[in-house]
Amino acid sequence: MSHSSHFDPPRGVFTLPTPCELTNPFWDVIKTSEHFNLQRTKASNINSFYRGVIGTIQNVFDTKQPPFRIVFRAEPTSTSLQIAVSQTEKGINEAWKWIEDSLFLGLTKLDDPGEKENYVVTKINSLVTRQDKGTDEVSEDESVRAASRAFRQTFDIAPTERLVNFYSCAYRSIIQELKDIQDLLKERSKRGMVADSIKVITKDSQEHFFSNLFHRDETYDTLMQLTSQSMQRLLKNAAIEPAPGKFLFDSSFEPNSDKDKSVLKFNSVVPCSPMVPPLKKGLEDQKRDKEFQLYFNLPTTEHLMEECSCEFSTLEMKEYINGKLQLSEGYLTFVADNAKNCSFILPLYTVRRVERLNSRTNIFALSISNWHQMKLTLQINGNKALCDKFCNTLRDNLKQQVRHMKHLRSFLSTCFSEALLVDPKKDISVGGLGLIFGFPGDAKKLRDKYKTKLWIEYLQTHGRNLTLIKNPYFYKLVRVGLPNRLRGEIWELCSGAMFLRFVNDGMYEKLQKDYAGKVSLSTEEIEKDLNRSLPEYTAYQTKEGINTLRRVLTAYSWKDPELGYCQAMNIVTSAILIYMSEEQAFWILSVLCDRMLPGYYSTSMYGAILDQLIFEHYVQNKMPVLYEHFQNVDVQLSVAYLPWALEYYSRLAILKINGDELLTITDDGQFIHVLKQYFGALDQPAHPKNKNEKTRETTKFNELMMVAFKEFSSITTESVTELRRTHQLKVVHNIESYTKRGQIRNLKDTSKFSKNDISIIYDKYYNAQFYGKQKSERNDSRMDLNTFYRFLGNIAGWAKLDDDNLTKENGSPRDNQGRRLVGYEFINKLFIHFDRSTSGGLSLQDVVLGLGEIVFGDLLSRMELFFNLHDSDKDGYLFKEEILQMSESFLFIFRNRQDDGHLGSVSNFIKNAFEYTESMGETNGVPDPHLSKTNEIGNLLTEHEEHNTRMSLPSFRMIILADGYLEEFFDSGFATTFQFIEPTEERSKGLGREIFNALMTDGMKLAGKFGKRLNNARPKSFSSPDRKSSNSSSKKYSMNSPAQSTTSIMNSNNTTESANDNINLNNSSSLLIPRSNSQDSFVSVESQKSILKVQGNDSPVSFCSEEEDDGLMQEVDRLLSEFSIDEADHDNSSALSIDMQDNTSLLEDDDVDKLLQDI
Amino acid sequence: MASRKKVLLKVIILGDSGVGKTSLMNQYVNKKFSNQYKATIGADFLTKEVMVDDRLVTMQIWDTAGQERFQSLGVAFYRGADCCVLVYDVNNSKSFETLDSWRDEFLIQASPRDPENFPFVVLGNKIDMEESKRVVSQKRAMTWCQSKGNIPYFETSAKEAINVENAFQTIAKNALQQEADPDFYNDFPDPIKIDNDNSKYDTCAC
Repeated sequence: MSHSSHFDPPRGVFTLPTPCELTNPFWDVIKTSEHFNLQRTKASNINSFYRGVIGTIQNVFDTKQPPFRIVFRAEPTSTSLQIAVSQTEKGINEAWKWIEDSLFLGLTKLDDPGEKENYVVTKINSLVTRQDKGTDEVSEDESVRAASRAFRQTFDIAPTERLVNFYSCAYRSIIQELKDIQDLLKERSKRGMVADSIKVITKDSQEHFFSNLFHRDETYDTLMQLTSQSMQRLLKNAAIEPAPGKFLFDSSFEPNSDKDKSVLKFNSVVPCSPMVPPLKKGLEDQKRDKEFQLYFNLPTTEHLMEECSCEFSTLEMKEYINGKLQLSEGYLTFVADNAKNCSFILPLYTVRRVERLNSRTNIFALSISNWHQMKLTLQINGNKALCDKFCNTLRDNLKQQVRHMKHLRSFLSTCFSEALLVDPKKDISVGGLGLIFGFPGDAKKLRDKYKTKLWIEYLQTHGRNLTLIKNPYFYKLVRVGLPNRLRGEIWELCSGAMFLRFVNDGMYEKLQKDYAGKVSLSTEEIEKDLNRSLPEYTAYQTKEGINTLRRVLTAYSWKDPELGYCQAMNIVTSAILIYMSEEQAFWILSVLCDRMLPGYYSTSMYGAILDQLIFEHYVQNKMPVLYEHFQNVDVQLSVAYLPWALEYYSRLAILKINGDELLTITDDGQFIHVLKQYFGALDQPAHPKNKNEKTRETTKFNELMMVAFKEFSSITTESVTELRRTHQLKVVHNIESYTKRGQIRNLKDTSKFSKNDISIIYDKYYNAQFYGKQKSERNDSRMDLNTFYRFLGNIAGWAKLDDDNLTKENGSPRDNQGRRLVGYEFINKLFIHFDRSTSGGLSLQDVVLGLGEIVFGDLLSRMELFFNLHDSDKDGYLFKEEILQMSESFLFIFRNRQDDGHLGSVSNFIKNAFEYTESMGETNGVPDPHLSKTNEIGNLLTEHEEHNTRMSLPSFRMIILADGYLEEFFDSGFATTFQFIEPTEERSKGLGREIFNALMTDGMKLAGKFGKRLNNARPKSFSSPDRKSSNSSSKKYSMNSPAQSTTSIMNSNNTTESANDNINLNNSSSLLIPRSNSQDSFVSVESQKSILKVQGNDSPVSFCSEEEDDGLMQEVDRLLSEFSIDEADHDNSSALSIDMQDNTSLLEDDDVDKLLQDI
Repeated sequence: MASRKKVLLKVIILGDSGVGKTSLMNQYVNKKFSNQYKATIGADFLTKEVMVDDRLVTMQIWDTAGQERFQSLGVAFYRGADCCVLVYDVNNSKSFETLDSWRDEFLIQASPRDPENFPFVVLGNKIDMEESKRVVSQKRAMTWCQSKGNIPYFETSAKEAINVENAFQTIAKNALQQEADPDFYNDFPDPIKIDNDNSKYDTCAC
């Protein structure tokens, strides 16, 4: 930027120029210049009671205004513009200074008032846009902008988080991190006529209610979606470290991370899509795309682009079918209104020709010919514009897909259906192990030939493999049974694995080649299980079969190193390999792990745990008697069914059929026993003694299928998906505690930290990691430098680089900038030091050891550490530059100490460091052989001779020990800066809390003086705007002691009973004055305005509550009414009191300003 | 004191994947060894009636999945266990090193009344393999067992049926002892004790 300023403009202070009243009685002018006014809100220095009132009103109307602002005074004809706001005087002064530096000169050169205004507006605009890039504060909508800023200022959160949307509600909560949320429930508030509240249960089983939400369902959905996302991240985070599938280092393989990544970047298998900015709109799209992908089993790279209703037909079909046509980047899909009736997924690369049929006016029809010479006719219902838009997108997408067409032919040669239909004599050699080792079962008895014939007929008229159209007959054929040779292909098609295989052509071979001979934890595990997969099948008694299985499993473990290999995958894979080629099996396995059984095989197996919960949920709903019995005898359903992963409806059917017997069991063992017996007898007749011969023929298996389909058909994929979403919150936290135990146990060295400390370090480590990275990109669970800044800032106060302290202290912003750089520099040094394996990342172990060295070291070891940190060339000496750096590090760490002692010590240190070496040099111009006997001094001398100033470790020690402050610092001070405190206690920091506390204090004072002293108090504080005292009091709030915050958490816990009913909320403070007109529930519902902020980057969320509850509202009402009495001689006071008491809610934000003026 | 009713002893076998848990169980219960077991998914169990100290007891032996990740599934059936058998492969030192964490995790999940004295038994399996492959010495194993409160230790071979019967006899015996302990409120995790002395007499009502 080529701007005349000497320093960068302060961040987070400037706002987009917003019109405002220049002469507002609520602002005092502090500074003024030709064009600008620096103002302070009266609320900041008038008496605390009055401040409370204003603060409350501002909160009620979401118009909280920081106490300082700068206004550009345009010419009298136009309105003034607010260009900067700040919470602190310091901040606003910096802004003022910057304006003086950069704008004054420019302004004096301009004459025309309009030009001046333009100049300022442009300057400030560009500044704000640049600074706030990536936040919502540049948003067009002013209310979003304001909310976003307030949000950022209220919650001490990572800048990557974005405000998604805000809803007004009656809140009661402290900052809540989304990832800690365990359960979300829609609740009916006790008072409301409508279900209007949301209950949030956090992992430490606190309950929070948010009531009076006007868009409850919308809020709920958004919350749900955001929580899900953060859960996904959390689950990925909880992965065992290192990823089991990551190759162990071997000398023959140079790890080239970039290259590895390219191997691992698949077209579609990245489990969570890259994080798009989860603004509300984005979230909706994301949700829609997900549903679309899930419904059609499409790769996750597909996005729903066009959608319209249409009528579909082919030459063979007799009628037109109504349905929905959807278009994504690579696929055109159709599903009939009655989904079973007809559906197809047409990859665009199989489209040969698209024609627009213009037979009649106002009818828009397309004819599509595909690779298999089928003509599909699509008649789009809609107007011309819609149809044109659809066609244009289709055309564009088709162009994009042309490149895939060239390997269509080779791909189809691997599909058995081609051979079956095109040239029955030519046999495609590609297939499963069954081709060589035979298929299980008796082909004759299974009437394989006959089935094949039926399938040939179907495929001839309905397309095949990539172009297949499914109609009811298709599902019937599937239920009759698949012919062995076609089985693999139909599986592949129905699961969507075929599309993946097509798009990722050659990947399987590449994995084999790239990782040939590599070893990982997973490959070792695979090796153990190869012979324990399907030993009864002949192929797996041969080397050939085992090798096939090994190749598929290891390839998968390389593809998804975080999952690696999970037992049971071997059994599944060995079974499907009988029917299909390795590559086909590989992609089916991918679909199975990523989409069909998400999380089932992950290192935490959260998918399986989730399923247990869902299954239990179903049992409870569908078979309450049985469920109750299980509860009574304390049998967990999960024990039994894990080895038999079945559809929910089959599982339920099994329970149902065996219900009577199961009601007699009393422990886990008997439960399993019953089920095992049942499974063993599945092929036996269900009713052997029945007179009807037909009935006698039905096996237990038939019966099972019948019961399953008949009784539990209501269980659909959609309902399961929904349940997964709602239950996953509970699962995550169980897993978290397990992985935590495991990780901590796996630490080889815990330094001397107590279990509790380690646990806190663990939490902070993973917390920092959670916010630190885009997980989808990572292949490495170690902490990087940026995350380390955040982590350390959480543990040691001096390491907080973005807090106010860096700007609050004396010194120009430039100094602060410099100091911050020193901070980064110093922490970088620590990072490098911690990183023992020089891998560029820190594991939990590294961090524990590193911190341990500092905390449990002694005076000497810590001095040595400091010395080594600053000895950048590791030559054992500190040179002039390095000594200066060290002193800057000292200054950086001491920056928050108020006393001069530390500063003096540092300057002494510098002086001594130079003087000592120099003085030694002067008195001993020539090295004295006697003296050099003692190494230290000898070194010192030679040092001095060569470089004039260089310091060895021993002389460094001497200098330090000579200074009381520095000695104390190394002896204990430095170590005690590292604090291991439960993270929960930090949560309640933030502005909302402060305001609340301020109000509480005021409330208490008020209660003390109850009733009369208002007259005296007001003028007094007006007359003595004691800035110092107001500053110090606000400081007190921000230094909220942990004990205090814990109490407030406790409070919210205790009041959960009454949380629905806000009137009872003032339980938490008996000091608040009861509302006089409490029957007026209209006011209490409507006027309580606070903000529920659902915060963003896919995770965390905070619910803000800038104020507490009814109690405060009552207080305000009360105060205002008193106020109006006291000020009875003012003209509008009575009007005011009526307004405030009766329909606060009807006031618009603008009215508040006016109202306040009136006062 | 202890009731004469039929006693059921619950025994849990834990250890890394592939150390031979399923084989040991089958060798003991069915006197058979097979190369064709599948990897255990989740858990399974077999029962066997045995005479211990002149009493007929039913042993319910639970075989578990060895892969670490299966642990997170929550192991409900650990609860109420009477004895825990830790198995490692003498030819695989990692399977020995993880015994510690198997033991810890068991104690956490099963949360027995008296974790200090809960009966464990350690089995070093696969001693039929050639001596040159062996990596965990008997001494090393014994030292570990001693350090954990004198856990009984056996070296076994499920394949050759070496020491299996012997080991399980000890397991049954220790399990019975645990079961027979006058642990009167065992089934009620949070008893409200009104009067200590009185409640002692109501023990076997359950």
